[in-house]
Amino acid sequence: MDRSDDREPLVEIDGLQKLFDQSQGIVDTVLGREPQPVRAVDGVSLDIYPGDTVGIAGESGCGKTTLGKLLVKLYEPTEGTIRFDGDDVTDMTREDERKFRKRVQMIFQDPFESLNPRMTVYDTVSEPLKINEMVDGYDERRSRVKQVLEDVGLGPAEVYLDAFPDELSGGERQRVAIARALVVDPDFVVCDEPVSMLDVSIRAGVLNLMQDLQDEYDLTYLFISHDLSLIRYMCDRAGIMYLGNMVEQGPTDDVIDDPKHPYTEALFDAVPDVELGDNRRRANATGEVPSPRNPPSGCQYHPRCAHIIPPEDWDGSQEAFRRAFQFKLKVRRGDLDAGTASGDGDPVESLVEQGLTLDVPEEYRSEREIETGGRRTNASSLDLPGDARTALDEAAEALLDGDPDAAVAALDGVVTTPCASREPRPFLSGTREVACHRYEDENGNTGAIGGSNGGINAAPTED
Amino acid sequence: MTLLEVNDLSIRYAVDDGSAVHASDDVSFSVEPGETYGLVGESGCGKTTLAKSLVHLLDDNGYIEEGEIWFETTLPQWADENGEPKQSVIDDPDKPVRADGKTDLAQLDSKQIRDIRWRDIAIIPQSAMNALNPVYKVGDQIVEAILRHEPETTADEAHDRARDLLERVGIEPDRADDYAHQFSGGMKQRAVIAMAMACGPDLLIADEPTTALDVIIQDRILEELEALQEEFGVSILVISHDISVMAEICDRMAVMYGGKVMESGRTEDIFDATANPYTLGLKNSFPTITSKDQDLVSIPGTPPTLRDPDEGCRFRERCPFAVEECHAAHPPMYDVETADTEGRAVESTDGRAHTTACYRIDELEQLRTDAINESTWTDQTIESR
Repeated sequence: MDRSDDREPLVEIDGLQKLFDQSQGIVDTVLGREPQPVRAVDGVSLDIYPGDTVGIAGESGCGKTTLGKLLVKLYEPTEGTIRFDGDDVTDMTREDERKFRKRVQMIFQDPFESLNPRMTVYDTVSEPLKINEMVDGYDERRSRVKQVLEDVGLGPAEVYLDAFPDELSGGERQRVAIARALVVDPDFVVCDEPVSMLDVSIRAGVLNLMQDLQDEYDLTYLFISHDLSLIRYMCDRAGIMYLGNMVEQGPTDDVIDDPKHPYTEALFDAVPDVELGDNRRRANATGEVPSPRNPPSGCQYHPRCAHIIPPEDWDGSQEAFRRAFQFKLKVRRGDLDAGTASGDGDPVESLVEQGLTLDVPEEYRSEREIETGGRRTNASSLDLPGDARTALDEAAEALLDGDPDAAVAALDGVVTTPCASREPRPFLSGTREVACHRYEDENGNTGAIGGSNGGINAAPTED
Repeated sequence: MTLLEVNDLSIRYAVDDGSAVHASDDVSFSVEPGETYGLVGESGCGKTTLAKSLVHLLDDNGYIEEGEIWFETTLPQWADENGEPKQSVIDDPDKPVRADGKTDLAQLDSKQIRDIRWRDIAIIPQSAMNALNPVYKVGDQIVEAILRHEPETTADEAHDRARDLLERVGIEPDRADDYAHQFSGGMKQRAVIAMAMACGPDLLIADEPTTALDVIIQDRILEELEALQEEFGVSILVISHDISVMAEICDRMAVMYGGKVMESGRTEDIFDATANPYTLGLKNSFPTITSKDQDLVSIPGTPPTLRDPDEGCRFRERCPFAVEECHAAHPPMYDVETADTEGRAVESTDGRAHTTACYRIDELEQLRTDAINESTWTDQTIESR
């Protein structure tokens, strides 16, 4: 959908943050522990234009559902603002809020849970009309309900009006949920995984219905899904979330065909596809999503990132840095110690070789890693700078002495990435906004990274 | 030589009112050594029931109505010193053992099947994330499985093997002393896979192995399964509703609908030379990440209830191509290659072939052409045909 500049956004989200579980238990208070909230949504900014379908994608726990609930005011934000049609929704009079609730609706994931089993379809769909005092009299209300039911493909409506949810199939239930959202003629609908509980053969019907209704009712959608193929099918624009942050957003086709953020790239590489066959690349990412209670510093994706940026004075390769950085992470996590230095030969060498391995799919592994099932890699074949090699040896020796703190200290000066020190600011790169230090650097946005050597390896390459 | 040969297997669930749910009806398929075979279908198509029935893990009201499950193994008490069945056992009509060394699992009693489970056939359960016991160390759970099924192994050997297994699936061996809650989702899944591999089974049954996992972890688990298969030559029977995952990992598959196999064959044949209306409809209805501007078309209607179903084709009520014949009886499996009007009577028995349950096999080209048109599936008038 083309974006003319004179259009005003329908929803403007600015620096939105939602923390959960900020309270302290009595034990924590007595022990003087700081509360450690879950950072569900952590500084998201996004504009949604009228008539668009904006997709929010990400893995479980990335905060996409929380974002959706914030937008319909099911949660109050901890920080930041949401403006709907120009009005700040966090600061509304009771009357304004009533109007807001009529204009904004939500469709939930599970139609088996979201419909009251004791209410008939008519009761369910007419309830919003009563609450909002929209239509006078039974006859008018009934004809409005019938109209909406036919619009969502439940026709003839008479058949469905007195049915209870358990008499309906999953697809029919979700259509009732859609009818309930649309009966008040809203402007903005948040759809949270609307088809994930439905069987494949009936999904398409619900998706196509949603597209048709968008034109008919003049709707703007926020479409939340973990399924990237669905996002591609439904959305004009897509935002990718990771640990409460929006790492990349832009036109869906651009984001999917040419992902800029390393996380987006990994995410799309990981999607199995019928058509790709053997040509598919696997996701080049290490480890799993960390806890949102204690997220990594700086760019939260940096511990898993394939394109992690070496420090300015690093004169080895980026791959060598990535491996050295994984060594440091393993030491910090306690995954490397004297006990794990197995096998014959020099224990220091063996520990270094072990620490430099990458937990990635086979196509990204070194030959030695493939031979040893990912247990060892060749330190000498890596383009490691001399001081880094020394630091690794020192760290390994410290580990063998049973002193992991000294090991971390040995690495800290040399194996340090700018990605961990500062959170990347969303940067406009072409058609999208990307929150990645590599793009800040390329455009001279900040002087933090720069540098000739690190820059070359770290710079994004178009291939 | 096949590893597993399922012939005309029918499974029922008894219902209180005396009726029965036909969860699987006359299902036949075979799994070769070292291959990945998929059972794909929507919820309620009978794929999980089928897999569970192979090792007698059905719920209490489920039972095998008829059919055979020939599996390449011999119970210890029936084996000679080479592990082959004794001639006296093969000759004994009361013992379900064939001359080719296969045993019919359907006829074994609960004690006998216990010797097969885990040692020969291991299961990665549907909710593998919750399959680990929270109060035992992960390593100890693997040790327990080994000791339970291989009494001759010593505890020390079992511990060493548990650590090796964990290392093999990419978990630090020292984590064997951790509890399940200390593992991430992907690690739990890996641990469950390690546990399934503990006794060196010939067949792994993986029921929705990646459904609860995030996409990047799913990717790694699928890679891990492939690697294990390559290394140990284990066959994998995967059950999933996710067509994209199946397309990626399966050598061959059976598409199930309403308790029946609708189409079976090599994965590329199923996708590139689709020969069944249901599979054609399914292909129309899911989006792919690679293509822009797709038009998805859903299959009208909903899956049938399987409680005492009638004789006709299970898919006919949703099928735009249904004809008179479809109401009389569910079609047999036809070989797609040899199908012509004369060939109709010949049912395919070769498990490797591409087969389909559709009477209109001789008009395949036309069906494929029509199936691409959205109007084929949305036009209401066809339903009365």
